[in-house]
Amino acid sequence: MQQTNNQIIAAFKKGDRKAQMQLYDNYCNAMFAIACRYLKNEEDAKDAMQEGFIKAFSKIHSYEPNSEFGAWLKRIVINQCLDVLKKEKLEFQPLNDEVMTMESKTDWHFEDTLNKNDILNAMESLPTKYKVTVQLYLIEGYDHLEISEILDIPIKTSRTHLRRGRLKLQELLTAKKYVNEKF
Amino acid sequence: MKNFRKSFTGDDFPEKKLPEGHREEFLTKLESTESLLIKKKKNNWVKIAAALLIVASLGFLLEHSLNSEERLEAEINDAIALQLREVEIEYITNINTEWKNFLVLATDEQLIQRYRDKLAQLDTDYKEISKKFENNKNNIGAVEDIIRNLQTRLTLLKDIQEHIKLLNQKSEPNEKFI
Repeated sequence: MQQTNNQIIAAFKKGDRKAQMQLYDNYCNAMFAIACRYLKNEEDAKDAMQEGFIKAFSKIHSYEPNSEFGAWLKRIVINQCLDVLKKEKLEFQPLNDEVMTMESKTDWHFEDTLNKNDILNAMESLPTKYKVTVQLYLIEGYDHLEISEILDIPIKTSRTHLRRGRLKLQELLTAKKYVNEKF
Repeated sequence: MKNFRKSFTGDDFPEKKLPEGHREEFLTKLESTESLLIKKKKNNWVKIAAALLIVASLGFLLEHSLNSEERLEAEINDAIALQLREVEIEYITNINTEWKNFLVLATDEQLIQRYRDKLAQLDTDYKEISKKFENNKNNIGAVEDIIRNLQTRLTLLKDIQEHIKLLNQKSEPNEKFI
């Protein structure tokens, strides 16, 4: 797949329109699904996805063939979605009372009784700024440095948002578990 | 306990279908963006040509209006401004690197805030001195102040790094002992 992509990209760099559309066809569904995780309105998600493609095409020369094209494109599409959210006044600035606490990997371990759907449903109830950071970490698998780069905030701030997001998520999941046990 | 990180796949999310006609829509967007870029490039050439014309005219006017002494002074001032800019860029790059390293390592919130305040103050001072220099490029005092300000910031950050190193060294033997 990667080799085929590289051939398409090579053709694309020579100005082949068909190669551009081939890349779009190969990735549009996956990228649309990713955009929908960030933007609830599907029309907005489609626009962000398409804008992401246009941005990626305009800087295709900076793409390194050794890296995975899908991962490179995904990051551009996510950034595009975040730009939309930022226009809606989503801010990731730190609060004054933030306290630096080191996170442990086991902090992200969940009860055996919980499944992925429980986590995804609970995430939907998080405030957007926490939802986004948790999503970037838990679902997309980006690390702290990558998250801080994507959100364009200091690493300390992204850690704080992530920690708060995790605590809120755990609160929501505990409440859900309590309800399930009660009934 | 389960760790769900990176375990999510496309199947875990509701299936989403792109609306019909999305492909044609994309093609139209792509073509219009490209034609805009071509126009912009053409405009850029016009702008560059215009800028070159202005520079050439100014050069001609300067040549005829300034005497040789004034020209020499202007050249020296430009050379100082250029060198200063280079030094500034180098220092600011170093400062940013050190500060990023510090944020990764530091855990003491109060300490971070204290240093952040100091750096913010130095930054404000720096902007004021820069303005003075911009208004009068003959002001050697302002150049010295700018360099001193940048050096102070860098030294401050180096101190922070030393501070962290000491903290790390102190904590290591204890950890081994435990």
